[in-house]
Amino acid sequence: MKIKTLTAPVLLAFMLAACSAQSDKDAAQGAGELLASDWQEITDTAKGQEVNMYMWGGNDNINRYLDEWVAPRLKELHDIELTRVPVSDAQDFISQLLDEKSAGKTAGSMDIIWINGENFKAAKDNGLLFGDFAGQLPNFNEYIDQDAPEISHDFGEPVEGLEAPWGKAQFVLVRDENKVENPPGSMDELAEWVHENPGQFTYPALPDFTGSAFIRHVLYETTGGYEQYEQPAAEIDDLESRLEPMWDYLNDIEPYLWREGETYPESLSKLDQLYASGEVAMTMSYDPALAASEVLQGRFPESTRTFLLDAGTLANTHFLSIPFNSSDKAGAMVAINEMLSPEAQTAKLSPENWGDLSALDLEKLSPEQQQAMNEVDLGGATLPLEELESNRLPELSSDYIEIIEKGWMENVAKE
Amino acid sequence: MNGLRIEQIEKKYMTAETGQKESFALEPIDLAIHEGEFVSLLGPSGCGKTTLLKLTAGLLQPDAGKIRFGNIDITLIPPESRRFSMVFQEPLLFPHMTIGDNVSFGLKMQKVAKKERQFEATRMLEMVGLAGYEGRFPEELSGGQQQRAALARALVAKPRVLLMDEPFSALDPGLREDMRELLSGIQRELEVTVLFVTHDREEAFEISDRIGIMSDGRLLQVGTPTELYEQPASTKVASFLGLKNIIKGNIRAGHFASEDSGIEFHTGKPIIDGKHFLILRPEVLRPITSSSKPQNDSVHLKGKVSKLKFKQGSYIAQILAGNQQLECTLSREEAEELEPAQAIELYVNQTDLQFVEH
Amino acid sequence: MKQVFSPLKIILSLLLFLFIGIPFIALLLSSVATGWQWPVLFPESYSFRAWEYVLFGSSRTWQSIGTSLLIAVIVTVINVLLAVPAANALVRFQFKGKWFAEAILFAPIIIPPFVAVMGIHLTFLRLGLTETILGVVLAHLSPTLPYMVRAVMISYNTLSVDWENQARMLGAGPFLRFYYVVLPHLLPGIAAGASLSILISLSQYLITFIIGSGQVVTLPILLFPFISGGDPAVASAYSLLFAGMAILALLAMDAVLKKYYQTKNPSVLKVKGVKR
Repeated sequence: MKIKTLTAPVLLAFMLAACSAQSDKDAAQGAGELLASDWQEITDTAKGQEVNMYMWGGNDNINRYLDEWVAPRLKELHDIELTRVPVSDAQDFISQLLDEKSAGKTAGSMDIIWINGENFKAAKDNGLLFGDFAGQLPNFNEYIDQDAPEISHDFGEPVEGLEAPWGKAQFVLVRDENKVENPPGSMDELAEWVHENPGQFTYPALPDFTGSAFIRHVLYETTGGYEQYEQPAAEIDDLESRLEPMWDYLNDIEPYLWREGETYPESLSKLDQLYASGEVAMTMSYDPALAASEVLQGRFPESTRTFLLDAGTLANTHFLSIPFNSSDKAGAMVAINEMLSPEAQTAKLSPENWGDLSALDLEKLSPEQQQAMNEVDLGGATLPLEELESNRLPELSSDYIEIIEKGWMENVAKE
Repeated sequence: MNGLRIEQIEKKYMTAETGQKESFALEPIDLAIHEGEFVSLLGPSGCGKTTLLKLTAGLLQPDAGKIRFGNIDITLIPPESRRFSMVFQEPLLFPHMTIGDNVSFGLKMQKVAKKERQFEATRMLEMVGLAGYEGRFPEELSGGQQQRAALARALVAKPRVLLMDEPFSALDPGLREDMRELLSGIQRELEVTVLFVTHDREEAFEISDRIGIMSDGRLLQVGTPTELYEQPASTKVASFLGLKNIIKGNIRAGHFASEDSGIEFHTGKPIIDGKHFLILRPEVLRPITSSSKPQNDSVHLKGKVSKLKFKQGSYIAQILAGNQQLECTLSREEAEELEPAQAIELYVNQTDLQFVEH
Repeated sequence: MKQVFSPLKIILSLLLFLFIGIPFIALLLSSVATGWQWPVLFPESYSFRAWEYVLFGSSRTWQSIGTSLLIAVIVTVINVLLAVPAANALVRFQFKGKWFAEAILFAPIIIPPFVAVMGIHLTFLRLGLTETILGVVLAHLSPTLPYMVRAVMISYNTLSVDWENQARMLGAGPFLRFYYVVLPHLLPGIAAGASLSILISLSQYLITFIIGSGQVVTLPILLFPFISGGDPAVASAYSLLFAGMAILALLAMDAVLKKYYQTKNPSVLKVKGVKR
C-alpha cells in the first residue's frame, strides 16, 4: 500500500514532464522570426491564441477595465483570449521568470507582464525579456513620442524596445479642501503647514513606493534640484553630505506628524485609509486620477482635491513587456498594440474605468481622437492634463533610491 | 487427538531501546496439552509465561521449536488463521461496537451469516450471565461484565484452544472468585482446551487440571495440583507453591542428617546418597499427645514452642527443633495444651516425608 | 420547564460573541462601507460595489473557490494516505535514523515556506509540474503533512497493540483489523488532522502562486493583491467569503464524520486507550 501511494504521483509527474517537454519544442519554433515579420503575418499568427497577462491585481477598477473592456475587444477584433492573472507584487513574477530561466523552461505561461522601474531593470539585466518588439507595433510607431525621455528611459534605464509604454503616472498630493484651504506649493510651505496643524500629515514608511517618491521630492527641493543626480550615484563622492539637508527636513517635521512621528503608516493604502477615515488631512498618490475615482466610489470625501508643487512633481511611465519564454508572443504583441490604441487609452483615462494617464502623444492623434480624450471627465479632484504635463520632474534611477531607502531607516526611522 | 503440543520452543528478547542486550530468554520448553484439558502456567511476573502464551497464539514468532495442533505444525500459521482465541488481562471490547457486535465479531470474521451470528452471540451471552446486553456499548458495563463479554466473545467461534492471559487479575477479589467458577463451569460444558496464565497460586490450583510452574524462562515442573503439592521437583517449586519447612541436609546409607545435625533419622526408603532437601508440610507434623498414635516407623522430632498463632479455625505453631524453625498446623484441641517455651515432641509418618534432590 | 441563565453564563457568551462576532461584523461593515469617517462608529453610507465585484463581476471568484476546495480535498486525502502508515511506523517501530525521519517530516512547520518553495519550484519546473493542480497539491503537502502525521501519531500513541492482537485472535486479517479496530480509533485524530490540512491548504498564497505560476487560481490568489493593495472593501468581502468557504468545508467534513459515527456508534468519541 505504502509503495503504491508514493509512486503514483511521481510516475504521474514524469509523464507530465514528458508531455510538456514536447510542447516546449513547438513553441520555440518561430519565436525569433516575429521580431522581423510583417505585422499582417503577426496578426494572423495571433488569431486564436490565449494570452496570459500577469499584473498587480489589487484594484477592482483596473481589473474590471481589463476583464470587461480590453478582453472582450481583443476577442472580437483579433480572436485573442486574454486572461488576467492577479499578482500581489510584480517582484513575484520576476523571481518566477528567473527560476524558469535557470530551469530552462522555454514554454512559459506569462505572455504579457506589467512592469517598470526596478523590476524592468532586473528583468533586463537577467535577460528575462523577449526582445526589441515595441518597434513592430503600429500604434507605438504612430502615436507615441519615442524620443521623449519618459518613453525612452524607465527610471534611468534605457528601454531599448524591450517594453512598450502603457500609461503614465505623476505624483500628486491629495488634500481635503475643508481642512487644507491653501495647498502648500513647496516643501517649505508644507513644513510650515505641518507645524501649524500637528497630527494632520504623514507619509508611508519606506520602502513603500509612494512614500519613497514623496521623499525624492524633498531631496530635489532641499538639495538644489534634480539635475545633479543624472549621473550614477557612485560617481558623486560627497553624496552623504549632500543628502544631509533632506534628513534634517524630515526630522524637523517628524514630531508634528500623525502620532507625533513615532510610527508611520506601513503602506500607501494605510495612509489612504487614514485619509478616508478623516484622521489625517492629506494623502498622496502616484496616480493623478486615483483620488477622483476614490471620490467616485465614495471612499474619499467629496471635498478631495489634488495639487502639485510649484517646482513640479515626479512623473514616470509604466510599461507592458513580453517575457523571453512567452508561448504566445504574437498574441501578446497584438494585445499590447491594441492596448496602445487611442480608443483603449481614452477608455483607460476615464475615472469610471481606471483613470490612468494616456501614454500617447496628444499631438500625434487625429483631431477627433484628441477631442475624445479631452472630453473624458477626469472628475473634480483631478488636475487638467495640460497642468500635469507642464509640471513634470524626471525620476531618479534606482541606485539612488536604494541609498535613500537605507538612509531613511538610519537617519529618520531609527531616531 | 487434537491436543496442543509445544515442542522445544525458544525465544530470546532484546531490550526494546537499544536492540542489543539480551534482556530475557525463554529456554527450550516442551508442553503437551490434551483436548479439553485446562492447563495453567503459574509463575512470578517476568518468568516468561505470557511470552509462552503469545508464542502459542502466534503473536510472537519463536526462535526455534514448533507448535503443533493435532498432527499439524502451525508454527508459521498467522494467529488469525489458527482458530485459537484469547482473553487478555483487559477486556479489550471494541468501544465503537455493541456488546452483541463484539461477541459476534469472531463469527463475522469467519463470514457466518448475520442471523446465525446474532443467535450464537445471544446464546453465549446467556451462558456468561449477560442475557439482554446485546445492544449496550462496552462503556456501559462494569469491569466484571466487560470481562464476561470478552469471555463470551472468545468462546463464540468455538476456538480450538482458548488462551487466557491473567484474565481476572484486574478484578476485585470477590468478583475473581465468581469468574473462576463461571469459567470452570463453561469450560467443562463446552469441553474447550484452555491454556491459562496466572501468577495467583490459589487461582491456578482451583481451576486447573494441570499446572506448569515457570521461573526465569524455564518450565520447572508440570503436574496436577496434588502432584505438585506432594512431590515438588525442586525447592524452587516448593517455595513457589508456598511450602514451608524445607530443611537442607545429607542422606548417607538411608540416613538423613540436616546440615546443622539438629534433625537426624532413618529414611526407611531406598534413596540415593547425596545432598537432599527434606520438605515437611505443616499439616504432616503432628504432636505426640496422649490421644495420638504414631506409626511404628514414624520419625520423631523434639523441639520447643516459640510462637502460637490463630489462623482461620486452626492454629499455627512455630517450633524450634535443633536450629530449624518449623511450622506446624494444629487443631484447637492440640493447641490448647501448649504454651510458648514449652517443650514438644512431634512425629511425621514415613509416607509423608518428602525428599528433593539438591 | 424554566431555563436558568446564570450571570456567568451570560458574561461568557457575551465575551464569546465579542471575540468571534465583532471582527466579523467589522469585516461585514467595511465590505459595504463608503466614506467611513473616523471617529464615527458606523459608516454613513453603504454600497454593494465590493460584493458586486466579488460575486458577480468578472472576478472568477466561484471558479477559484472550486479550485481551492478541490486542492484542499485532494491534499487532505493524500495526507491521510501518507500519514497513517507514517505515524504507524514512527510510533510503533524503532529504526535507525528515526529521529532524522521525524526531523525531516516536521521541518516544514519550522522552516519558512518561502525557503522550501523556492527549491520545490526549480525541481517542479524541471519535472513540468508547475502551473498544474497536481503540482500545487504536491507542494501543499509540505506545510500540511506534518500536522496530519502529528495528529495521527497522537491517536496511535493511545492505541495499544493489544487491540489489534485481540482482533487478530478473533480471526481478523490485516485489512479487517485496520478497518474494524484501527481506523475507528484513529478517526478523531484523522478528523483533527484533516481540519488543519484543509484550513492550511485553503489559506496558502505563496506556495500556490509560485508553483501554480498564476495558472492555478485559488481564492487567496485573488484575495492577496487586494489586502496588499489596499482596497479594504473588496479585501473584506473576499475575507468574509474565505471564512465562509473554510467554515463550510469544515462543516461538510463534520457532517461526513457524523454520518459515519451514526452508523457505528454515537459515543465513539470516548475511545479508551489501554496501555501495555
